[in-house]
Amino acid sequence: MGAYLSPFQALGQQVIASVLDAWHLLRFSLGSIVALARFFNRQGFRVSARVTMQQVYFTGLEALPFLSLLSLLLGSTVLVQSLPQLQGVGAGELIGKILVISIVRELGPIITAMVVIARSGTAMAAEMATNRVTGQVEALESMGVDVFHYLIAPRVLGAMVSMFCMIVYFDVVALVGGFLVASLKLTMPISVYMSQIADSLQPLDLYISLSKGILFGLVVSLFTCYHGLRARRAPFEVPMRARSGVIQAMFFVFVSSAVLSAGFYWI
Amino acid sequence: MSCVELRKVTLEVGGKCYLQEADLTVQAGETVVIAGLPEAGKSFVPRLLLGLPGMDNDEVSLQGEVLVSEANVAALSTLDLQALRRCIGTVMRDGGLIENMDIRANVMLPLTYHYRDLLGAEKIQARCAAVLADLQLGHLAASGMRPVALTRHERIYVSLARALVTEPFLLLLDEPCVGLSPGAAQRLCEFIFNYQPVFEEPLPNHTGDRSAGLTRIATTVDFGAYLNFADRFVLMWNGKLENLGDRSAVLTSSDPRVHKLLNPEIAEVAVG
Repeated sequence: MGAYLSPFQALGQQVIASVLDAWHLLRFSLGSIVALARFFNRQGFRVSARVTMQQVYFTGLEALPFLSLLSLLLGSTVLVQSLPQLQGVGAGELIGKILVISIVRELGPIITAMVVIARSGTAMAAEMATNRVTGQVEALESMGVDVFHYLIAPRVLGAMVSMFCMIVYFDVVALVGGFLVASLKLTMPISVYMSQIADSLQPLDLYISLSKGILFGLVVSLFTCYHGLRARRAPFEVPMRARSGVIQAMFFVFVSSAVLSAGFYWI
Repeated sequence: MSCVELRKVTLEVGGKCYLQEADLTVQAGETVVIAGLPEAGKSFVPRLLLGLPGMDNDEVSLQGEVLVSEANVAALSTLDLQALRRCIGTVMRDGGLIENMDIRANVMLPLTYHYRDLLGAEKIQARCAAVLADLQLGHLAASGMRPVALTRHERIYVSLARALVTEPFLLLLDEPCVGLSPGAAQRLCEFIFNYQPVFEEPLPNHTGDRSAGLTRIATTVDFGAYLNFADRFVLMWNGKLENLGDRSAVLTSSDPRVHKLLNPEIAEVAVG
């Protein structure tokens, strides 16, 4: 009888572990958001602000060359693939709409999030796990340092600010730079192209794109920091925790992107 | 007046019982060494006093009362607990240094985090420089080295500097002398138990009574290096904390458990 029960027991244990993990993540997220809300008006603000600036530098500024290349390639590829097709059926004026929907609303935020996860998400998860494994988190706690205020909130804030700015940068480079690259092959004058983009770009597109930036920054930093700090005192847990954080962050970026797009669609 | 009090404390971490209705009282200004076998759970005593009973996200069950400066640690809010920890100096087993900061930044961290607005950058730097010089760490701090380049011995000294720079009323040390030669352990103990920096301007907003001097609690796996320094020795055995008395009580004890924890080589150096 016991042998028949064991798969159910395993399933039950898995469900309990998942529920507990979700509960811990919820508590961690609430603690982080409270620390974020009190970020500017408590002792230690200067030290935490310095960590935030370092995070913005690492997540945002250092990623710009790679992001530029990706956005140029994406913008020019979408243009080269879609404009001749549209012009072939006499619908060349729709190019602005297609670019705004595909790049500004969807691909820009998603690809930027993937870049941030690959560069900074892995780094944050590994750093947090190493901090935990080497006892640095306990050392901070024993000094009376608020770990949420000193370790988590600066990374969350830094990731949100960086992601917001990176998405604006990605959209501009993909739309403008992408056209300049594609103009080697295409015949559309830039003035016509720019006016079509300007006509197609609505405030809602910007709200969607930028709100995704803030949300993705929050999701990536929270998931990676949470999984990093769940490490125990064993060095082999560092890559395991980094992997868990990155996979969950990636999954929830796609989920939140879909939810946000659907939400704005219904509005 | 007692600085630290454990009343009938039972502690289970990850399903293993480390303290079983244990009692301990440490008076303000007293120096106490808690000795026990490896894996006896000695490290949980300083952790309990800091309100950090768990380890590695393990399940924790705590019963009894842990009082520090007459405050029940378990009943304190997060902010009150952080305020209490700010006034306690801690030297962790491997130093607990922040690896992405150089030595000076490590020592300055508690001051820059808690007292930057009250003291200002210049006074913080002056305080750190004074403590680093007293502990003969000036050359290490000036080199801009990170903790990874330090020996264990140096890490403990830097950690001690960081613990003392905030003028704590209680200093907690988790096996500071482990792995050191008898001579090095003696020199370290001289600093640990005799050195207390005095600053012209005391830190404000401090909790805890410092009038009786610094209270020191250290854990160890052998009494040896501490025999000349501690006021009182406590034996941690099977989850209980047993008071042994002073140095002479330890040296004359016929208890085989005490003999187990008395490294003859180190004891010889200590006795002179």
